[in-house]
Amino acid sequence: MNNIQQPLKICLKCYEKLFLRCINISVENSKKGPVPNVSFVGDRARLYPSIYCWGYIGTGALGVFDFVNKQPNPKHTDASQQTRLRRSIPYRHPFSYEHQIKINRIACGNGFTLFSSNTLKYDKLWGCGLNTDSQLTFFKDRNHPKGFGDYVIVPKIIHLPIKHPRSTRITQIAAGRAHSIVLTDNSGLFSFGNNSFGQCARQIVSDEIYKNSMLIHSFNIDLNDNDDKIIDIICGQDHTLFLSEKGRVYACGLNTDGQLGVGHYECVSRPERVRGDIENEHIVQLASKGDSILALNKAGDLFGWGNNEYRQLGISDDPVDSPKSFQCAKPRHLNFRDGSSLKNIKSIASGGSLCSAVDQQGKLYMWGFGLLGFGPKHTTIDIPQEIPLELFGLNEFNRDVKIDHVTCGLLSTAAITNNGELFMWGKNRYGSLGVEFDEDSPMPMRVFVPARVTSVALGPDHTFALCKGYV
Amino acid sequence: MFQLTLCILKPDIVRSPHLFNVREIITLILKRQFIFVKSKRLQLRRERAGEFYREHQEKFFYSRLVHYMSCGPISCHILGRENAIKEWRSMLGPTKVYKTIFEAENTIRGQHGVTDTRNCGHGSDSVETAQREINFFFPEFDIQSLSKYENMLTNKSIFNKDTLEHQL
Repeated sequence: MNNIQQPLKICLKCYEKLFLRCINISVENSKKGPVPNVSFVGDRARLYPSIYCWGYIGTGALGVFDFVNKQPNPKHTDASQQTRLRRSIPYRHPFSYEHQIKINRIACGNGFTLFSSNTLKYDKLWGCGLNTDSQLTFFKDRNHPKGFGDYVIVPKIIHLPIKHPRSTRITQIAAGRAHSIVLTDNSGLFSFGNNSFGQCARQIVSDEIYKNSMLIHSFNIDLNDNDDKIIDIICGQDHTLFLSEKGRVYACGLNTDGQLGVGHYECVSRPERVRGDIENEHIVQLASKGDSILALNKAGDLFGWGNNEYRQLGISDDPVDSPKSFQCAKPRHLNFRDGSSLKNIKSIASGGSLCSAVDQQGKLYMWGFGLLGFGPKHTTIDIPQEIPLELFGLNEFNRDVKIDHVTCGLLSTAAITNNGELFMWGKNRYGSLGVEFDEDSPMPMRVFVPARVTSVALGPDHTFALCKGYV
Repeated sequence: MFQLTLCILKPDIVRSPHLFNVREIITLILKRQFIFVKSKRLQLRRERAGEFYREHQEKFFYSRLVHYMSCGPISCHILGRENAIKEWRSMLGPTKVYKTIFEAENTIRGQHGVTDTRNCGHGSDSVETAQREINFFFPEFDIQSLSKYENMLTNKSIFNKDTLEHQL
């Protein structure tokens, strides 16, 4: 020990001034003083917004021209052609800094992505990816032989029919399997894409052709209350949920599993108020990606409805494993098998077969089926279990680690800690976890994004992260 | 034994061009030496889809199955091969996608399935159901002409990429 420290001290004394100018480093005896402390950035450095993306390239949902433009090499084998179509390492998306646009929100659907900015300029919304059901509205493609393409490979401006575009901001966007919803602050809502179950909140037209459709539906929800307004929208696979400022929930779309929570199993094309247990509760957050829905009220209690095949919604009055207990058409307060229920929750997420929640202390709970982060085997857990925070970097030197935010994709989960670090685990379809290997990740893995992650959007095979970094 | 089976590719596959039009899935089927006897692309009405799945009428997933099948164009094929029914089902993988992605990763459902209902494809489960289902989608097809297709692969018949059929 002394042998190493003696020359180090001499070295430090000699080059003290030079050393301190480059990086602020102070090495002291670990037994007496504090631990080494390294800081690379000055106090007045600014954080700049940046976007990182990773996942499947083949649909064009990443919106990076250089990825898609590569011609397949005939010399390569099939296996290497497949790896050509995936990007498993986070890539800084060039769109925002090339065009000097500040992107505020990102929504990932099945094979397409929407970007929005809350400026007052004319260009507010961009989209890229699959456009087979005109979920990115109508685009004419010169390069395609018939004039229309199935893909949009770089983000293109989506022109919304807003009456006063210079005084309207986009406040929220959401994307489902093949439909998109946009919420603006004073021009109501816009929807486009597939409407075969009424998920665009307009009447179902049988045999409608969605490809190359120019229709953008503009609508408002009848709230029966002058002070109330819609503040949030959430899309599942084929349904849409609307959350109002006073905590009321409205829903439309596919309802075969009771996803809308309106008490019956018929599809609804005109948004209907969700009642049941949440009728008198002030809901502040909704979460849905697959067919089961979680809702969080102001006091931090959990409610749920929809698909319950993997015990995401706890127990009900019906006997276990009877077909009736697989579906839940009325919102109910979540009670689990041992009679417990989660309290003081601040953030929730619901994926295809798994659910997660974060409580006020920053602890993360997971339940459902799949790779939940508890080990190499996929399991069913019907009582919420806490994931040890040691997996997120809690140790002797770093005692202040909390989970701030959790998001679920269909098959994977992402958690953001209070340091802005992103952890992902679950199924690694086409490298959508952003870890360098191609296997599934059974435990939380740090995604190496060289910036602080503020929010993350997960599609079934691609991921976008909105970050703030020094570069 | 030479068998015929009915294969349906569900709306999610048919609508996404990188899977269907680039023919990733069709090439996969061809690689397993299946013969495309007849092919048809159509959109089912809800009543017709309900009629097709009438054996599941009592089950809780009946409604969502029928809704999903009628939400977009589907592609139906009569596939022929030795042990076609079993082979095609093993290629598809188990029905429940959330379990299949871990247990049978290299099947079609394990690779491209989205949720339990949106599970890429359908395959007949026995000789009798295959006969009934082929008759449902291809009433003009004569099942007695089976022997005609038996030696198609050895006779080096050509696969027509536009109609997705092998030509005699």
